[in-house]
Amino acid sequence: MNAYWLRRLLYAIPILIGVNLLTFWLFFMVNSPEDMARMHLGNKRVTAMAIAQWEVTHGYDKPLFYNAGRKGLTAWTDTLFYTRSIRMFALDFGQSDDGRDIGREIRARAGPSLMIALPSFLIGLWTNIALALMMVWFRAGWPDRLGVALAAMLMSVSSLFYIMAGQFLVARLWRLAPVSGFVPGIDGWRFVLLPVLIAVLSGIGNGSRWYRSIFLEEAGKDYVRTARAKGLSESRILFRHVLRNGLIPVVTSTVAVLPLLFMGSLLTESFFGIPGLGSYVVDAIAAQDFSVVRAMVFIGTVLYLIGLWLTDLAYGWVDPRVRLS
Amino acid sequence: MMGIHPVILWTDALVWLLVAGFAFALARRDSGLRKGVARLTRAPVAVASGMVLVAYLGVTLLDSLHFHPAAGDSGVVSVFDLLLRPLQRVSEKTYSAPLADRLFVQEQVLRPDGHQQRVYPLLAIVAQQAHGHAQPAAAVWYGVLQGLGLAGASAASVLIWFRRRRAARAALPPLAWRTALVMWTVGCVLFAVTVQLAASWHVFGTDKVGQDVLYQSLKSIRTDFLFGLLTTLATLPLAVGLGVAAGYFGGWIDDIIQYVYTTLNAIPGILLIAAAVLLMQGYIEVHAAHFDSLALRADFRLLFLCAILGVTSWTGLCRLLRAETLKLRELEYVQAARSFGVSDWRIMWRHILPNLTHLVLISVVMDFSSLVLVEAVLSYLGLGVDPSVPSWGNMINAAQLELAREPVVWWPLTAAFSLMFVLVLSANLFADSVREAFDPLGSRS
Amino acid sequence: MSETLLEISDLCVSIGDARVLDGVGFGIASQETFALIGESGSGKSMIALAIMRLLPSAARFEAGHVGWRGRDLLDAPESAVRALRGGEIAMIFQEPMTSLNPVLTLGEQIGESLALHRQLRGKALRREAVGLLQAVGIAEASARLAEYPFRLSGGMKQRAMIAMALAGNPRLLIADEPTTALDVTVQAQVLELLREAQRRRGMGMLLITHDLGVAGIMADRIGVLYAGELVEIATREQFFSAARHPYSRKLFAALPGRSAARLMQIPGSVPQAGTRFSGCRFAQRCDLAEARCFVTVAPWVEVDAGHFARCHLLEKAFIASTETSAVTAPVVSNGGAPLLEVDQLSVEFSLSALRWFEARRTLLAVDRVNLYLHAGETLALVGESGCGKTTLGRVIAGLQAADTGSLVLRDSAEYPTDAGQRRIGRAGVQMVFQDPFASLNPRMRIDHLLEEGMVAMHVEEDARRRRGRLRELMAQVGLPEQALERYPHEFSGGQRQRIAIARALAVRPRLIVCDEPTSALDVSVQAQVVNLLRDIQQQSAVALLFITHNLVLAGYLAHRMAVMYLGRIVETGATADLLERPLHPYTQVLLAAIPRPGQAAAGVIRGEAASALHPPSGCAFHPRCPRAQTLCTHTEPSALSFAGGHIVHCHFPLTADAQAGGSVAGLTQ
Repeated sequence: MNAYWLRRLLYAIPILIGVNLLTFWLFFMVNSPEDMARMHLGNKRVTAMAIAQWEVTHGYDKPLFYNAGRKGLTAWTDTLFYTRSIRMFALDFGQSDDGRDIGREIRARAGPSLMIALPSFLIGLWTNIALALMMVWFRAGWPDRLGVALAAMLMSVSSLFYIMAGQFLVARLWRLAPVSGFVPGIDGWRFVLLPVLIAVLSGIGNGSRWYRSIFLEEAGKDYVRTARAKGLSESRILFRHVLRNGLIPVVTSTVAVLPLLFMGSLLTESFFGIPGLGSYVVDAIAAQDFSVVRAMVFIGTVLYLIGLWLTDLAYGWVDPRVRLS
Repeated sequence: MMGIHPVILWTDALVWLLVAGFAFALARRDSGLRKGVARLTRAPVAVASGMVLVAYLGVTLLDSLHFHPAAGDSGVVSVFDLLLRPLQRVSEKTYSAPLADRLFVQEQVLRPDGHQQRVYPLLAIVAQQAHGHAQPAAAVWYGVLQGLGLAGASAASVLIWFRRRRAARAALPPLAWRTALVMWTVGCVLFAVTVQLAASWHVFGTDKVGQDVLYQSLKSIRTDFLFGLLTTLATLPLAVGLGVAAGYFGGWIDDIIQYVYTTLNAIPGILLIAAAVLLMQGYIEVHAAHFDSLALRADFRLLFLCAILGVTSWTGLCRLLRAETLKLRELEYVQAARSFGVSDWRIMWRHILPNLTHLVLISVVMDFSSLVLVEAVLSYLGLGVDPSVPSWGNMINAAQLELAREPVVWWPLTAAFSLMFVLVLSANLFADSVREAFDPLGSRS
Repeated sequence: MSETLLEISDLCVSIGDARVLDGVGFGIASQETFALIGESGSGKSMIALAIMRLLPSAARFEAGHVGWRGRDLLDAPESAVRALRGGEIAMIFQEPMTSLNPVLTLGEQIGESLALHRQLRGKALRREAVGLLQAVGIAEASARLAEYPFRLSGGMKQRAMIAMALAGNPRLLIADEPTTALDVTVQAQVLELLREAQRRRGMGMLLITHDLGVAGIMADRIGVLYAGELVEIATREQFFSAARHPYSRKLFAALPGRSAARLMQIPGSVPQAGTRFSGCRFAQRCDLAEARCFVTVAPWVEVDAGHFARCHLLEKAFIASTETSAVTAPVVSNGGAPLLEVDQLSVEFSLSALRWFEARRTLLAVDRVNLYLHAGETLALVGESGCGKTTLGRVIAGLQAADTGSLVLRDSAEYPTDAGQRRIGRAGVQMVFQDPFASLNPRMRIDHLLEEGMVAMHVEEDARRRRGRLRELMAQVGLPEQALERYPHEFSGGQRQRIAIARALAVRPRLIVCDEPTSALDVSVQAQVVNLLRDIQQQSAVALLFITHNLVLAGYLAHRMAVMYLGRIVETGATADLLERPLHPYTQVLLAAIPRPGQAAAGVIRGEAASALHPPSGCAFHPRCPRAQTLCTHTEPSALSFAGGHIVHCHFPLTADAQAGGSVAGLTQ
């Protein structure tokens, strides 16, 4: 058993290396520092001097893999690959283009992101499961059909529309919540309310449909027929037999995305002016700040791998077939 | 018009090829596909949503026949533009509400008595009408009558045509006739009403620079439709090729392919796309000389965007096909073929692939709708199609400021969202029907 | 005094506009077992669900009554019916693998019934649950309560299902094909358990089965269902001595027996659920049918005391109930070299999914097997599930590589010695698979399916002559020529199996490996395929390796038999020798476990086959063997040869004097 977990952990290493190589290749080989300088300086007629100057100030003036100008180990460490890729494994992300420490920025922004993402996720999960159970309870009846139709409509609306319409109606027209902004701590609840509400609403269509199909599949299984033949009531069958089995894929998929909640939501955060990691990414993309993008890619990958690992763990936890064999 | 100088953009060629390929596949006597299609055309929801999709597809195809309006003119115009010429003819100074007579903002005018006055000026489209104009309600009624007439006449002529040709009737799959008729009538009426109204008003109003919003939202259809279609197309070679290879061969080939897609999956999708798009923008800027026209440049950007999304989003389908191939490989008919010494490639081509087509089809239709939604988000993030290209994403992006105005300018946003909603909803409903028709057992949850 | 529990009359159920049950009526008294016999789609499970009022939502009651101890269940409120379900009426299902909830422990699942119907809680509940598990023969019952279903073998799961059904102290137990998914030795155990439980509790039992043998040893009365209609009801004695309906009689005749006579085959196939009928539902397949049979439904007539049948032709004497065109067994060229020789063949499976750190776990699926096969001969390879017979067949057909040992096909260099060679096809040996629905590519037309092998093997390169050969093949397997232009989904299971045989024949093989080709088919269709295989062998002297779990069928079809247990062949010999004078205790157990009408009960031995992952030491059969001694536990028996090529791997074979000692009686308890 321990060998298994160790193996799972070690499996993450080649993937992290692969991601690192891929991003390094994208950012430094397809798009050389010189190209970057040109793009930032904007001008087509940029002098070589200006480019060199830019590279020095932003720390891109090193060779890619091997620095012939240095001796010993520093010939390898004083390179772009080492400073921009390898040091990430020590969670050292360097500085962004505007000179701030990326690591500190990320630490500061994770909290606000989580304050929006975690409640959105949990409330959304609960709502979707409840709605799905309701549809399964009335399966093939009119509440089910109505629910399915509504879900299809809800999932056909762009998430941008949910945010823009929600902001316009709730915040501007009805003045029930602030349009945007953020205050850390418990006082911030007023700012959190509307983004969470909108995030939950925009997820209902997809989520409830998906859970419904999972529960419906379970409800058609043979063991449900056995449970009926035992004389159990429909509610007991649904909550004890169907839900217990249906929750296995729900829990494992939930656990997989849980770590990624740290990354925040790009749209919600940028519309509501929340200083989280989502808006950090949006700003970095707008400013074409590759250092920040690369740091976020690395963190996202690590979180994804933690999610994979938690999924395995969760399977063992909720499914006796996995736990005991 | 003297002589036509056709221009074939990359995306034009691809979308026409795609449609031709699909028509060819339908025409072949493949039992699986035909049976599925027959099941589709019997389902009212599928017929209704399918007809909407066909309408959007029709606009896309018409908008994908490009030519230079005149020799030496580097501008590019499509057949659809010719049809929309009435909408383009009159433009206003700035915002005007849907079906309004006057501009949305006041202007200083000099009255004949020399006083300055702030008024809402009359719209150009109203002013151009020689003998005043009717009320919108009258135009609507006229349009409804016209639409009903059109629907009736077309239905009757189709009926007469089929009476004469028994063979054609027999070749047709069973159809949910009532739904088709209702949808056709609704479509005809909508079309006629819009044409009637558009002659005297801006149906969806005008935008900041006074352009007709209806025109813009209609022109956006091509961009968004193509984006959805070509992106799913771009995922197919990788997803199908690698998925089938991993499932069929197993062993180290499987290990490598699994490693590649786990690695790709591990990178947050939006960041990977952002990186690739930023690189592409850099490339276009540096090599601006390669694109001799704005249209070509925008087209390249659209194409490249599809390719990027394709390369970053093939993993889901690949995993699905790998799992299915693993199952199929053990099936007895594949075993039988192997016992005849049939080569691996032939087994994959004749025994594995045809039994995966329904999964590929379902996934293409399901992904299409979500990609249309993704276009809007990408445009909002500045990673989408070229700002010069009309697209719902660009319209929504612009509308963000309009919503903050006082009084609010709501119509460009509403128009873009409505057209997008209709397309996405139809695609979603159609996807459900396709899944039911082609995969009754539900091998994909 | 027995009390009438269930009284069904004129029950009609429809799905869509098709009557899936039409005018069904019968009764069951306490302490009585009523067996419903029917083939797939006959509606027999539908009757069970109708009694429980658990019909699928698409089905609806049209007419009739289901009386339960004087009450009508169809009119009763849902709550009243729910109180009966699992209480007075309990049910067990065919698939023990899927019928138990995988994430609840046995204790939780049994406890649910106990709490609901017996109002037991806490310690009393636990005590009762343990008692139930002990009663159904599950050892270490209290520890097993915390076990999840996936940890139990198939037989154990079915025992747990029975315990769950008994938890409510039912007056009537409905058993829907309770042993169909089980091996024959386990089937015998479960049937014995059901009889025991019924006798002790005085329950009534409705046993639903397709197997005449099971009905024959279990039932007091028997009802025969065909396409949703009861065609005959009789006591067991009446039914087995004087069945009156043509369909019942043909079912008997279609079963392979010990005579070499050609099997009676019922033309056509079982009508699919949803077919609409006028007149007698069996008329289309009945060779006695007259004009009126197609038009009017026959009346339900009492032909003898308690013996009812529904047929226009009951007065007619049934003379031609069995076809008498006896066939002589083909001459087997015992002289000369055999066509196929397998020597010390072993196949290992590597089970290690954890590829990196752990030592590989291996499973020896086939263990040093020797066998030979002459041209024109049929060898039956017999054994229970998991014994390795399919793997051995696949190796012989070249679908899988052997790890050690050799295979030689006479006059042919076709078997590669290199086990890792990828392209493995060869024309000399072909295979017919078990599942008729998975063995034909649904996306290919029949002619393309048949041609594929011919093209790949370069048999008949000329397209015109190939076409001619396809037509010959269709005629040979008894299908119309137009079938070539159709797709597989247009054929029934039996027809598909014939197409699969034609595909194998297309490349002119010298040996065909048939892997359970009839086990997925209904009895009435099975005969068509079995007869076809015999005809083909007579015409072309092809050798057949017939893999099956069905000893009776093997005995009918084969010249020689080989019995496998946990990867080893434990006994081989001529069919008659092996069936009449089995030397290995396992063969004997297998034979005794076959339910045969007229026999009091099937012979029962304890336990189930061990997993091939952890084979027992010494003789693999020793943990279950009634004759095992300490020698057997540590030393593997070597081959002992007897007269007529009869070979057995056993330290204490059942030779003539041992059999006289009465060990058979000991086996059957």
